[in-house]
Amino acid sequence: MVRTYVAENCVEQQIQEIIGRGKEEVGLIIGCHGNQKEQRDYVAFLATTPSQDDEDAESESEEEVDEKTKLKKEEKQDVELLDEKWIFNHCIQVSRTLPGGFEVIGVYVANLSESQTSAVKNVFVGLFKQVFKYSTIMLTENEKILISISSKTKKATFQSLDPKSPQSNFQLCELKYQHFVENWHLLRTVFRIHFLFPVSEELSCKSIRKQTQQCFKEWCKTVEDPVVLINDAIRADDEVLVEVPKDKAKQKARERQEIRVSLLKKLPYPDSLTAVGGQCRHRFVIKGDVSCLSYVRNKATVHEAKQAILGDIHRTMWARMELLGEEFEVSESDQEMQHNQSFNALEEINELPKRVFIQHPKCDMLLSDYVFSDESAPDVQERFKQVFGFEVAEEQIDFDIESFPEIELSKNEIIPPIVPASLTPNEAAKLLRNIGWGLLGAVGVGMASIFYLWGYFD
Amino acid sequence: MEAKPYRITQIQESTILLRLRCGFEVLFASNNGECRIEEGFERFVAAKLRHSPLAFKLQSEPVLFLDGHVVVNSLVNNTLFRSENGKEPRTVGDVLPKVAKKTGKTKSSSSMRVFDVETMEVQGQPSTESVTSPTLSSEGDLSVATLVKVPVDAIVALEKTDEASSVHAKLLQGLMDHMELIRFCMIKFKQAGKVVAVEPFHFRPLNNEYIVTTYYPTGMDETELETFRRSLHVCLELPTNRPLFRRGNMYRFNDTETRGGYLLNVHEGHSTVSPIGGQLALVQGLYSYHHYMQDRFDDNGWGCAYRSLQTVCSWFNLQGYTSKPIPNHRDIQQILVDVGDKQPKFVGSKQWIGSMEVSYVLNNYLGVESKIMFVSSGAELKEKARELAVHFENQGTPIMIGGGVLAHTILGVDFNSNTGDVRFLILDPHYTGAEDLEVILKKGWCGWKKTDFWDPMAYYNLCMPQRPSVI
Repeated sequence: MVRTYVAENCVEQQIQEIIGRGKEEVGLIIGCHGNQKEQRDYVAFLATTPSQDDEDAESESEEEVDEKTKLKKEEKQDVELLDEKWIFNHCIQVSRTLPGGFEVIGVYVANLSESQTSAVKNVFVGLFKQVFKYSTIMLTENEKILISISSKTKKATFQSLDPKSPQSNFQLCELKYQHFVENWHLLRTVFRIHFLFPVSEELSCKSIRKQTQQCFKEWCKTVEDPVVLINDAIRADDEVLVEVPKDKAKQKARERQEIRVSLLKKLPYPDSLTAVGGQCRHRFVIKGDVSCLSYVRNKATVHEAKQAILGDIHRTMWARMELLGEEFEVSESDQEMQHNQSFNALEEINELPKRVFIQHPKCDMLLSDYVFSDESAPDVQERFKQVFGFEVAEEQIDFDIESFPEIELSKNEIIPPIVPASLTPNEAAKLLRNIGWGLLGAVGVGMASIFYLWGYFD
Repeated sequence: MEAKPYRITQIQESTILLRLRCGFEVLFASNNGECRIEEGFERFVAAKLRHSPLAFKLQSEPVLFLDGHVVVNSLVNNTLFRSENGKEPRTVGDVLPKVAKKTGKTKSSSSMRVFDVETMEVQGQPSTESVTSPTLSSEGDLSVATLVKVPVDAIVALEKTDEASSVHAKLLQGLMDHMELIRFCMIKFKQAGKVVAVEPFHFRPLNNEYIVTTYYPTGMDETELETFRRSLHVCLELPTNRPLFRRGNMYRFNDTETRGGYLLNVHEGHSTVSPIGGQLALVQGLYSYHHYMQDRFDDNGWGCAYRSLQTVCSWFNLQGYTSKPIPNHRDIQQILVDVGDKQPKFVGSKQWIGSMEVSYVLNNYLGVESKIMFVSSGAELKEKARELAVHFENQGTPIMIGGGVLAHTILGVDFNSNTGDVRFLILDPHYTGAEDLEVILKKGWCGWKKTDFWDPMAYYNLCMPQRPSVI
């Protein structure tokens, strides 16, 4: 059966622009895989992968640049564009910004040379295989699209292939341009996290980044198959999310609705009662709320909505933990270099970056970025320019969806009064303030270590 | 709150019970080998129960109790509930599903309605006043941390007319109350400084109008718990000569008519009105019906006494005197060889046994003494009616009777002391069919028999098991 793709009008625009530019390009396709039965996917917009030249140019001195660019141009020009690792990194960056319901569904290439064209399939398969292996939180294992654009013929062909069966060939697909994102329903929820992760002796010998990655994996297991309330009502999985009365079918079916979602986690009666004990060096505690957002097509079922919002919950925590992990990696290596000692993460509190929403200029959806407390609009704008290639106005960035916790510091003493871990950091701050502990502002990133001892673990 | 190691829930016929079964993971730290239980609980309760919103859902219905309001599936084509005028349900009676009338017999204990409730943590809410982004903190240097899965089985009694919006608060209170109870029990049963896992048990002693709930350490032997049980008997002013709080005595909420596939108390399908104007004296408590061909074992023609013995064993098991399984034919034969009553080749044979052998097995396997009654003629049994009635009133155990070529179980006697008329309630182990209650009752495999049931030409031995005086 031929796969069909529904693409936003802005995609057509973007393709025209690419044709107009006439350069060699590679980039990612952002959209949504429809359900299996329908064999239909949705394309929302394209994101051009920045070329490596620009990156290299920033980090090297001028002389080196000249040398290098010469070398590159002479020897590696052909395949430099299709650098799997480079595109993979871009994919990670893009995936972090996408709301639930959307993911990277393919790759586009433009104006490739002969040798590049023959390498496309391998790169395509290799890239997605890497991604699947890395994390299925980023995207789902489905057939992915390849758009091949040629400025000469002024045409774009759409093909699809399942990266998990590379022996098969690309299949041609049908395309239809139509607005859809603006009509898709929007699901919102605020997800509360309070997670304890004892770090075993074995794990505590590994890098902090590895520890946080393991911590994240374990946390994911606590967010599986919740009971979902849609607009405060209990619904069955196979029901259609938004019922449309028959007489107004045509009109109402095309309107976006904001849907309030609640997620309830069952606390089942334990089937085994053995106590599990163990030595652990230290424990991670993750506490706070995350704002979650996802989109679903109009005729989605409750089950699809559940999957979409769960996907966003996982993805937002994944993005935050990864960003914090990257910071740890940097400071760990810095510290090692400076002090020749191993980095000790004990007795610290670290902020995860908070989420900000950005209105996509062409497509009616909200993208996200994550900022640490010392970052602001210009940082976001710069990142978006790099990752997506478009400009974002400051008004389009919503910084107030989430707020950083107020963190208190102890000046001299290490042992603070016992503060129940149940309190949010805000409440804890108030409590401490009331009993006369000093207040120092939270300091930023990398050095995001503020010495503070939570007196309790639960 | 008084520090009592148990809780009492009063019940009446109109009571609606919500039964909350859930589990929590609680972490306890140990210092110098001493587990800090109090601390572990305090922190847990503060974190999980006071600050984290909990929701309660009826297990098989789309009814959810949230803080402040009730959510009932509100789809247009939902046929389960229609709240009047589309308003939010007001009372508990509005919210809970109506129970369809059961056809056939209903046990008196099932007139009280019990609903299972699931506990849930509200992880995601549509919006909150402020969204504080998460922090990752590290707590260091714990010595030994023990993670214990704490099971909770709390029951909350409601009336139909109670406000639906108050249910959440009541359930939460019940949960908190149980955490107190669990903490008390964990501290009480702490062993060598280590925390023990505890399990909930509900009891309804002597079928009174209340349910007692307590927690016992998992795996602790019944003998070790005897002192604790005695204190329960004393506090609640209950007789101390019969077990009421052993694990085997636990109250079963579901109106199960079977246990392990066997039918329970099949005699209850019969009327309790005496057609001869007499007084009924019946077996007390629960037993399961054992008969030919059960357990895919063909003992047709020879196993009747064995089956009757199994029924008697089931009684001691169900009344909590023992947790030993019901012995099969081979087990029974082996026991008789072990006590020296039979030769080794007895095992695996199809030899009959009589009431003496039954008493030996009860003694050896369960530690139960029996009185043996001998009648030289089946016709004499009529005269023993009073004695049998006294047995059922005092002991209440099923009687195994063997004579002629048959063995039966007597479950009760109907005696008119004026006219001298007698009927016997007989459970017949010769039944070879399936566990079909209707057939069993209709065809008289369990039924009231007149004195002509007994063969006047045969002599009979009755084995009357005596309740051990234990708790």
